[in-house]
Amino acid sequence: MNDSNFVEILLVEDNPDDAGLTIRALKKNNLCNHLLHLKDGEEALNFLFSEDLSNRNLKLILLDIKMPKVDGIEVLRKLKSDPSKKSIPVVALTSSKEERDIIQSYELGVNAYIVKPVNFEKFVSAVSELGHFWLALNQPPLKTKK
Amino acid sequence: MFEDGFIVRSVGTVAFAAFAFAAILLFLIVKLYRMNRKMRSEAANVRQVENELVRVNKFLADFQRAIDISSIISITDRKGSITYANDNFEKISGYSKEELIGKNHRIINSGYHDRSFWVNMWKTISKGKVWRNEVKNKAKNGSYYWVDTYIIPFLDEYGRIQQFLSVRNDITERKAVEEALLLLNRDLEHRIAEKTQSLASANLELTKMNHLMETVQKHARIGVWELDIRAGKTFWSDEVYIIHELPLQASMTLEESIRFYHPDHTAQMKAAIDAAIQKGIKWDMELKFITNNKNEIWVRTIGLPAMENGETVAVQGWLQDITRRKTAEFEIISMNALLESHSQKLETINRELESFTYSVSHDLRAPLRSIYGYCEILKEDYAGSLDEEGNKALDIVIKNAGRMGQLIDDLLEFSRLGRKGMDKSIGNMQEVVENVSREIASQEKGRKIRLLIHPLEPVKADVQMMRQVWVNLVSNAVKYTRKTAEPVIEIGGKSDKDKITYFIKDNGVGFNMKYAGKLFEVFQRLHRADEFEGTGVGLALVKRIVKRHGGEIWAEASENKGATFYFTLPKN
Repeated sequence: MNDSNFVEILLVEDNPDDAGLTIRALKKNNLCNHLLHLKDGEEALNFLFSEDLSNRNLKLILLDIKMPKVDGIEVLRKLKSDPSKKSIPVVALTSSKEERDIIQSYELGVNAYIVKPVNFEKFVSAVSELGHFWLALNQPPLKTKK
Repeated sequence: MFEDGFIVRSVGTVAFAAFAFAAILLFLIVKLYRMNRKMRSEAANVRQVENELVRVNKFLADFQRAIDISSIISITDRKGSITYANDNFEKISGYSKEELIGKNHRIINSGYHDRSFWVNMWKTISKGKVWRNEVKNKAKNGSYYWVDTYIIPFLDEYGRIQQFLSVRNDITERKAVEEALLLLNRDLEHRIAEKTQSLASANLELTKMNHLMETVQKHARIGVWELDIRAGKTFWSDEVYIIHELPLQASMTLEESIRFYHPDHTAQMKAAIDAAIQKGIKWDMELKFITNNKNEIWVRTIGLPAMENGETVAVQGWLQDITRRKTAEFEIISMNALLESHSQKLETINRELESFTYSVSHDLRAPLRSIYGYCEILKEDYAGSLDEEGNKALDIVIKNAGRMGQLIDDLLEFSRLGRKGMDKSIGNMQEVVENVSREIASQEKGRKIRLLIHPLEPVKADVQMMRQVWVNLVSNAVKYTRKTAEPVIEIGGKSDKDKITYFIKDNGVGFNMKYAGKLFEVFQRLHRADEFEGTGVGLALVKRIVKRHGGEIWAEASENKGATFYFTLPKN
């Protein structure tokens, strides 16, 4: 199996500047070796539902909520209602502190909801913590096909 | 032989004697003849008497037989002991003659008649007079019988009583009928009395009810009416006329009365009446109505068909003037419509506001984060390439981006508070204040702040919001005592009948009361940012929470002498 095929982290983020900050924060913690950045919900759905994910080693999806075309809520809904994909951890990483977004995301089965801090130090620490948690500490269910 | 001797002595004498003898003989013959005649007539007399006697005896026997057959006969002696009783007596009393003879009539006394009854009897018959009365007797088997009784005293030639004859006739049946009649009469009388009584009280009730009905009708503006279909008659109570604005007792046909309904509703009324008469369907409608004086009013009309053998024989109902209620209803409806449109507008505004704050939340924060983030990257990666001035400029950008982030967050918090629902419960204010104070004081490292917290009673409020109030107030007190050598913060509350007044007093820099009015407005600050940091949202937020709880907030202060903030919360 080729390591270059791996997509351990899928980052779905329409704002390239925010994506840059997230990637930098992950890089600082050496968590960025197998990261795929997709620019909106449509791209994300295309990747998640047309590709064979079985040998991608996908460990975490970082999902922005407010995106053009297909938003994060819609991506979350599709993912969590698909039996083969609902066990992939999804962390909402978004600017929105709106309660209705938070409530809806949790109702749909989001694994965590992080509001991106304006403050860069806080942002870096938040991203590195969640990266460590989901990639290193979290124990995903065993895959039958590997 | 006496005459013969005489003849011997003398012929003359004999002649005389013969003459005398003949005379005497003649006399004797005549006498004899007469005697014989008398005797013969007397014998005939005796025969006649004898015949008479036989006839009388037969008559008497027949008479007795007749009486014996028809009546109950008894004879008693002077003292009342029975000496004779006939068959009828035996039959009716159940006693045999042997049982009766020698006994007193008390043997058949029923005890029905009182003493004076018998005293009167004895008084009458003792005087030799006939006594007659109806007597209730008791037979041997205990049954009772009634007899119409005559007691006839028999007197001797000196007028003394020898014995009494009783002649009785059975009147038990008649008596039974009489008694039944009496009972019936008594019952009837009783019932009539009762009926009369209840009629009288019913009448009184009715009068009262009528009066009550009239009063109710007048005040409720309800009139009652009846349409008697069989008799073809209508009855209207006074109020019906009054509602129509017609003179009382004005004559009105059904057709005419329907015409009082508003043209919009005439057909509806007509249909309802037809349905009631033909199908026995009741109606209850609120219709427009035009009175005799052309006043447009609203009435409630109710009609209840009275049925007999599946046929409507009458319709009863009432008519109520409901104009006042209808007017009020229409007012309410139009007010509701107005309110509805207002609240719809309000909702639209709220939605707009919500989407505005949402985009502020998202769209303003994102570029800010980029400014902040990329300045930090610049600093991290290129600090060496910049001179001191460049680095300082970068720091200022970073600092202000952070400040703007804080402003946005506070502003969002403030606007969110307006939309958030309140969750009031009994909150332990003491605990909230102690926790908040401890947390904030612990962040102030190296400072010694004296905290005086007086006992605070529990209060009904949204605990989360109360926490926010105290966070802001305590933070302020901590912040503005930063330049005080020995900072003291005192918190307490005073309970009144209907509210609790809380205070937080500090010995910090205070402020000029001249500016007190600006204190609780958003983004208004009484200190420069380089003196005391802040966004000017905290106290506005506190005021908003207190106001939402129905309380008041104010402050007292003077420059450099500390400040005291007060707020109240209603107890209910």
